[in-house]
Amino acid sequence: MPTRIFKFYRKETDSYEVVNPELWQWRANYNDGTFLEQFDSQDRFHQIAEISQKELHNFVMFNIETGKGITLKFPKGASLIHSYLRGGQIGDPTSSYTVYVFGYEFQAQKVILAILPDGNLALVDDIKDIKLLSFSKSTNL
Amino acid sequence: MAATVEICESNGAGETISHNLTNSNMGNTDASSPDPVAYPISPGNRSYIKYQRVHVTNMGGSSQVKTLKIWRTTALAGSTTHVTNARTSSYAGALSYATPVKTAVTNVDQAMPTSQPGSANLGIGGDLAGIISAAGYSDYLGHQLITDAGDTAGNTSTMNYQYEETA
Repeated sequence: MPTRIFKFYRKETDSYEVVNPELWQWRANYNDGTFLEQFDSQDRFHQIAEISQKELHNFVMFNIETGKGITLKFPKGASLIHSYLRGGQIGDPTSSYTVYVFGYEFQAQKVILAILPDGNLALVDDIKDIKLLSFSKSTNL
Repeated sequence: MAATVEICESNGAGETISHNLTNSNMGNTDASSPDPVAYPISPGNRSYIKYQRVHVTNMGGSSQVKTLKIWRTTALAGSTTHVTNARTSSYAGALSYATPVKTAVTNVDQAMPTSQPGSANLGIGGDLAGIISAAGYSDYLGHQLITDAGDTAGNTSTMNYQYEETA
């Protein structure tokens, strides 16, 4: 299967940027049955800001290798949260990691899910609580 | 990965920038990735200060890179200490580049964290809440080892970084 090349058009520079696919990608499902995919079928990349949150029914993160998904029911009036925590050791590219962070803020409370590099899932109410070494069977947050 | 991010180091009077560091070795010379065996720090003295930056070379579809965190893992041997300008509060603003020296540098006096900080400790544009929204650099991370007269050679530890990216 040929490798797909996704592109993002940046208005500020009037130019296209190549975007590498993410292991976990999002799909925004709207109340009217339509949807917006982060990496769409036309090989276009979409930013979170393009999601019409007022029309959002649920937000799905899916793994492009396993096909498994995590569905987040989106409360009306909530604010969507989505970002990546990336890092590693200076000078060691093999140590680089990505944590996929998503959730929402609703009535001053946050519900945040973090997909960790080992595939485990953490539920927190503050992104500051996401520390890789914190999530083991013997550690209490 | 969306944004392309590397760690750079500046050296020399004319500020020569070394991109995509392969290590963060420190020694008795102003150079990127020096051989510490060839340039050992004399016990009781400091290493040459490092001026490093997080560099976004391409936003890759992302809108922001922010919340930069730098820390060291594994303990240093002997009585060696590790100082930096990185801090999570009362940030002194962007550190200015100067030809690296092996004496103390103003504002490079905080203990390098040995676990992941709870919030940003390296600024962008002089502000811990700063953001990178187009190809560009963070503030300089200044850091330096201070050895004790009784220390011996052979310190090995790991420098870590993390940032938040919005796409």
